[in-house]
Amino acid sequence: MTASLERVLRAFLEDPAAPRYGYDLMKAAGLKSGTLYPMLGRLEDDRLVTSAWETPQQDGQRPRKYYRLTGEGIRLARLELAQVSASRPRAPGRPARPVPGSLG
Amino acid sequence: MRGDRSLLRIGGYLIGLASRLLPGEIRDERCREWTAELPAILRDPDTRLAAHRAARMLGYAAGAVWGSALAAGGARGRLTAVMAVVVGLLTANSLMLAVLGILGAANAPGDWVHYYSIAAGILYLAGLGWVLARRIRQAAKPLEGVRDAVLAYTAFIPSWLLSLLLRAVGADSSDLPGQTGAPSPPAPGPVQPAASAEQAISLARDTAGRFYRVRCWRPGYQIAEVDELIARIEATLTTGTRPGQAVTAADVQAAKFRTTRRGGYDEQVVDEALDHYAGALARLALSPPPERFK
Repeated sequence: MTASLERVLRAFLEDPAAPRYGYDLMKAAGLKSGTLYPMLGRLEDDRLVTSAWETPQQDGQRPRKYYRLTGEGIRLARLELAQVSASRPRAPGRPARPVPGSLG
Repeated sequence: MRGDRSLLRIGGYLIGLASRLLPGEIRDERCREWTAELPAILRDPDTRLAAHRAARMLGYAAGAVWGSALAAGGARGRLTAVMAVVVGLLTANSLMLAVLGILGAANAPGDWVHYYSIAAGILYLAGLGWVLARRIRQAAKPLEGVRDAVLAYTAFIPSWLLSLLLRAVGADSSDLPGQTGAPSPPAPGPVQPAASAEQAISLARDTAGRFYRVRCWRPGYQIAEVDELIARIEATLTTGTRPGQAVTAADVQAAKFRTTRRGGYDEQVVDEALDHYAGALARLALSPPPERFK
């Protein structure tokens, strides 16, 4: 899993039920539009993300398209992120190696 | 708000560009989606400065263009093909630069422009080889290395343009001042007959005693051929060559020169000077034979 995908999934999982616009995701994940949209397209192809158009509003604004994770997407994203966290080196702040003698 | 409208128009133009790079089945939907985001970004309450919002909106649109160009496989292929053509043209041009530089240096040694063009051509080719070799070594697949090298190599385009500019400047500085624009000779004007031939001819020459040369890439007469004919005319006019070897006015009018694009003589200047020479020769033929032929 690439770092950009990880950031997008984390942004989605902040509130899995909330609809997310492309620009919101860009801000939340800190990605460029050129990176985000192809990734959303791939996730949609894999049926991990679903998209819908918002209902047209009275103020004449064009309807925006929003994305949210599918049930399968939520499950897989949690799994993948958990694996990434487990395989990652220890979080900063903890000693990188056990202090000699501390194990025994 | 009027500023917003023109910003949105620019953004919309970029979005249109971006969606044209996408495959047909997702083009319209992406275009609608991106277009709808633009005003939302311009009114984003989280970004306080209007200029910052505008920059974000344009960045968003530009990112869409970049992402589409790279994501669409076909577009990426086209991009690489265009780059390959550009690099091919540059390579051909630099080869030509080096070869013409060698020829020019052989023709007119001492003109620094020729040595410069040899050096530029060789440097360019060496640069191409170096970038290619490095990229291919670094890449997992040789073909991807070639593609990256081609992309990296386009960074040389500015230096290539600079070399063209320097060449143009160099060619100009070998002309006399006042001869940098269109090939307008230092018009001798309606010169009086008889004694004016010398004057007209000297006007057509620069301080080094040569005719004005034209800028490179424009045709001009081969210098050696013109010089040779002029020398024969001068010999006829001044020292009085034996009649059998003398140049006649008809000879001068029938003379033809090969042209070169490598800083030859200005055709108009030479033609005018030759007309004056032909007149002088005609008068010489009509005048009673000088004592030396008696």
